[in-house]
Formats: sequence, structure tokens, C-alpha cells
Amino acid sequence: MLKFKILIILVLIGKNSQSQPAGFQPVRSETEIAAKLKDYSAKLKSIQSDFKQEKHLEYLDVALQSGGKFWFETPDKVRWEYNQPYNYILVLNSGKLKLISNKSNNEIDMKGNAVFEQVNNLMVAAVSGNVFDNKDYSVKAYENKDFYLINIKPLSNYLSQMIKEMDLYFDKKNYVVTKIKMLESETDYSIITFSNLNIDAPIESKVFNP
Amino acid sequence: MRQSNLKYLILSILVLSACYVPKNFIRVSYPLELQLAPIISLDSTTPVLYSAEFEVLKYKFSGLIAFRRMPENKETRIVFLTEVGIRVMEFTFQNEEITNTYCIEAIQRKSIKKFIESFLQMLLSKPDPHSVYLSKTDTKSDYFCRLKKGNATYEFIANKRTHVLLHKGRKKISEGKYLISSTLPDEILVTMKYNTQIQLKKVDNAFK
Repeated sequence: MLKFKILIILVLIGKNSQSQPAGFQPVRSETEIAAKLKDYSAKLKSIQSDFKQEKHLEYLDVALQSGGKFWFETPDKVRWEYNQPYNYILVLNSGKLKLISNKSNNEIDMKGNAVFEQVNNLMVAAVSGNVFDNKDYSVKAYENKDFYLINIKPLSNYLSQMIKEMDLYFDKKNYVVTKIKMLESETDYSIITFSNLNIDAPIESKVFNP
Repeated sequence: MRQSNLKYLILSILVLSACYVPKNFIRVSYPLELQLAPIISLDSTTPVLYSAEFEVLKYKFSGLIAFRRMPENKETRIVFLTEVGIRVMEFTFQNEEITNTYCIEAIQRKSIKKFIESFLQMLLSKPDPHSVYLSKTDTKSDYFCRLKKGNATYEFIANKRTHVLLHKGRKKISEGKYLISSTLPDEILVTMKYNTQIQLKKVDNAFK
């Protein structure tokens, strides 16, 4: 009987640790955090920063490292520029996705493409903090001393095939997103860490029109 | 000409065609000084990354290809990724055979898989030392090694390690060229039928 009780406790602890990120606890008031992030998102004009990305590939048992520069301008302009260890530019602007590598330069009209539109909306929501009150995702909020951790799970079939869930780490001091963990499958995930953040500085239009 | 004679003539041409060896090709025994390594020969478990530029008809797109020889067995695993890190396809190469183990739904087409499989076969297969030919012209001589996989025949220029030819029957359908600095090629260019081209460039310091 004692063994059975211990087993039940272990199972419950295990279950709890799966649903709650380590080092974080659920926020006291999700409404309060939602309001704060909504307020930050409404005032935000732009973000410029450096980023580092670690892609964990279970199949190869390795982590691929890359990095570069990131720009965001409200409401929906995004530029990821990879310059380490390879060159690659991804720009989202006015419903169009531009992909530039050494030789190829492709522009995709996202209007009418449900998958691209949903990925775009999710990325914009993630960096701007406008993640609550969205019928496309389920959202859970956690906190520790320094960060709010917002866990997003896409509800649509299309999107959830590519991104199972996302953890967004917002700095408690200024509500700026500093880290994104993106789970693509049970085993594969990417961690994007932002540094040298420059908030609301003007961005030249050519950045989003390469 | 009577119909039976015509049939005989056509049959003879077909038989002779099947046995055809270009007259400047001489079958030779394997010269030991030749390095018969695959184009991508992974001696250690250190992973290798290539950036890839694909040109298929008028379309151009890019991506990443990661190769790793796994520690516990002799299989090589290959992952195709987008530059932002989305996993697109996975393959295993073991006992000279390519197996597709994962493919995203958007590109689950037999023709795409077949195309990628023959491309990987070309990069990872070891030429057969018992199938070496010497090609001699007035100006140069090259050793060719042949490798048969189903209907396809891969030909490696063995003494120069400069390019690979992929044949289906006698029809050349692709040609690959590569540059080597140390053990692994820095650049690989593969041209295939239907105006298809794949260019690979080695990316250093990519893995943690």
C-alpha cells in the first residue's frame, strides 16, 4: 500500500513537472499579465537586436548554431538576417514573405496561404507580446523572479504540425521578449535568444524592402 | 526487306547497344594508387553542414543539408533543413542504400524523394573497385569507376575526384563536380536533367 502511495505521488509530481516549466510557477493573475503585455504591445513601435539560434536535432544528436540581426516594426514588419555561419535573409512585409540566400531571391504572397499567414501571425504576436485573446492559440502564463513565461499552443492543424508549442520569455522590467523556445516535435526544438535590444528606435524602410 | 529480317536487325541493334562500351573506354584492373572514396566520406562522427542552392526548372530555392555518421553503428544520417531550422526531410545511408525516414507533408511526392535519393546516392556511395575503366583520348586519360543501382549507373572519375556522372541506361542524366581542400569537398555542383542543378557549399563552425 505504501509502495502504491509513493508511486501515485511520483506520477503526480512527474505530471506536474511536465505541465509546469522548471523554475516557474503559474502567474497569480493571468488577466493582469495579459493587460500589461497588451499595453506594452500597443505602445511598441520597433525592436532591433542581435539574435542567437540553437536548433536541437534529435536525429543527428547535435545542435546547429546560427545567429544574426533582427528587426521588427509594428504592426507586422519582420526581418531575420542570418550572418553566422551562413547568410540568409527572411523578410515579412505587407503580407509578403521574401527569402534571400546567396543565389536565390524568392517572394511569396502570403495572402490566401493559410499556413504562411498563421506562421506570420504567430511570429508577430510572439515578438510584440500580443498573444492573449487570440482564438488561434491556447495560452498559459508562468513567472519567476525575472521573467514572465508565456506558453502558446497553436490550435490549428496546419500550424501545430510545424510548431507544437512556443515558450516566450518576457523581461519583467520592460515586457520585452528576450528568448523564444520553439518545439517543432517531441524531440526537436529551437532556442532563439535576443541581445543588444534597441526598442522604438527608427528603422530605415530599406530594411524591410531588400 | 522482309518483316522477319527487319525484326532480326532491330533485335541485333538492341543487343549491340546493350553491350556498348565507348571505344575510348578500356576496362582495366583496379590501380591501387586510386582513392576510391565516396564524395562525402565521413571518417568521424563529427557532423558536417552544407548550404544548398537548388535550381529546378525556373524555380530557385535554398536550404541546409546536415550529415552525420552515427557513433554506435555505421549508418550515416542526413537531414534537410530550411535556414531558419525547420526540418524538411531525413534519410539514412547504410550498406550503400538510402532510406527516407521523414518528409514534411508539403513535399511528400514520389518524384521529389526519388530525385533526392539519387542525389544522396551520388554523394555517399563508394565506387566499385572491380568496375574500373580507363578513358583515353589524345590529350588526357581518366579512370572511371562505375556503380550500378537499379537502372542507374554512377560513374566516378577516380583519379581526379572532380566529377560524377549519373546514367540511366546509356543516357546521361546528371553530372556532378566538386572541389576538395582536405578530406571533404568545399563545393559540389550537381547538374541533372530537366534543367536541375544543386550547388553545395560547406559551412564551417555550425555545430555545438
